[in-house]
Amino acid sequence: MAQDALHDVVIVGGGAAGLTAGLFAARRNHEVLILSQDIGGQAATTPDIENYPGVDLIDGLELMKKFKAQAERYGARFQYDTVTAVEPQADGTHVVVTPSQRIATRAVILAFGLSHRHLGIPGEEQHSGKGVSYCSICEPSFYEGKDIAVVGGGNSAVQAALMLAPKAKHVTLVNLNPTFNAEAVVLQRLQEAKNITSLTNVESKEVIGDGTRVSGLRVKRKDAGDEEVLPVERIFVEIGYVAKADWVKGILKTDPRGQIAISPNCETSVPGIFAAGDITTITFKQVVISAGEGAKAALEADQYLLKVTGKRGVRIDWGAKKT
Amino acid sequence: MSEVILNDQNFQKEVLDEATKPVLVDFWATWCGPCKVQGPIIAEVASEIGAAAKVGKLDVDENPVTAQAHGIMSIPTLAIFKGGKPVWRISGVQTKQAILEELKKAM
Repeated sequence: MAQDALHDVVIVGGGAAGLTAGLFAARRNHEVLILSQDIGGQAATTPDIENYPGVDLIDGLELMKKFKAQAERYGARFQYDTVTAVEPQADGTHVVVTPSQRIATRAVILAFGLSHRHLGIPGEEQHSGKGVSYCSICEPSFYEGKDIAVVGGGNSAVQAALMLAPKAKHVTLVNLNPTFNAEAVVLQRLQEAKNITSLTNVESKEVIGDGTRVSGLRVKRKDAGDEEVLPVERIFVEIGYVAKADWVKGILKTDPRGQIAISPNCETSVPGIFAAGDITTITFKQVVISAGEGAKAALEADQYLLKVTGKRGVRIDWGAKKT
Repeated sequence: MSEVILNDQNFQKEVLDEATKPVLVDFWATWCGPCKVQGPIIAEVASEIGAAAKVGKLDVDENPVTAQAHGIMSIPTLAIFKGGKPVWRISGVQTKQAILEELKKAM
């Protein structure tokens, strides 16, 4: 397996946190490699971002492409890759492992975000993309007039139901909890919607179908104990996101939800490994927060690198290195 | 090799009648955010795999006949066809490694 020279900083993840970390580390004259499965992470799949300061309204992917271009302008390199392990070495350096490479580096910044949470019920995986979807904005327009179920009780579930309702025959919102946890303005729209039925205290038990198409969702009312089948052809699962950081467990301290525990300045439990953005224990998952966390992680990594290499650093972050 | 733009008219010839190479098809649409994330990954797959496989893109809105014939219910959906038959199919954004691995399996 190929192993090239020692990098300064390897960043795992190319969303708001990872790309901002790349920008800040590169502007401190460090040699930076960003490894990511995609450009922009979750933010890139958000059609409209309206709350990034200074930007009125922008497509998520467009914003993330700007982040990437800006980091690259200062010398950060971006590579599509899947990281499978990070191995701390006896000499204080780290090896980042991908299917084809072992990449040696002084510092690592983990910023690989969260993944869609699945229901974990029979029939779900088998029908993924064949009627079960985790992306309500990914429904091709030629499938109109269908009976649809949206599973979830949060803002994204209610918004998905509202978005799908105008072109659906009927939408059933299936919520495991007794109440919906969504913004007031969104709940108001839900009450006004004509073809949405909201079910609460209802657990999804099984996706029914023949392996090529979905024909129903078997559900159970928590209070009554009765099971019934909702005759739906599409099931949208909108139950939030989950940390898939199993590969760092055993190396780094994580919380019970699998999120990487960090200090206020993005240090993990291992010196030289930093973490930023949604994969960490920070409470709020927003583009602007992830960007800030990525900057913090890079600046803390900079301090660390100056210490381990014995170099004096660039102490200011303005006016330097324009290309 | 660059990507082939597929449509209802050329799908039979370019994909189903391709006798030797596996064909990767990216079912997508212009309005779909995740498809735009998938797009540059597909371009890298096409350039890396070279002449060993064919890589095509089909806009499901422009070509509903093919999309519906193949039961595309969510996009992006990626499929690999070999000898005119689908041998692999998955929905949601996929990594470059995962796609290359599946293409190599189909060779």
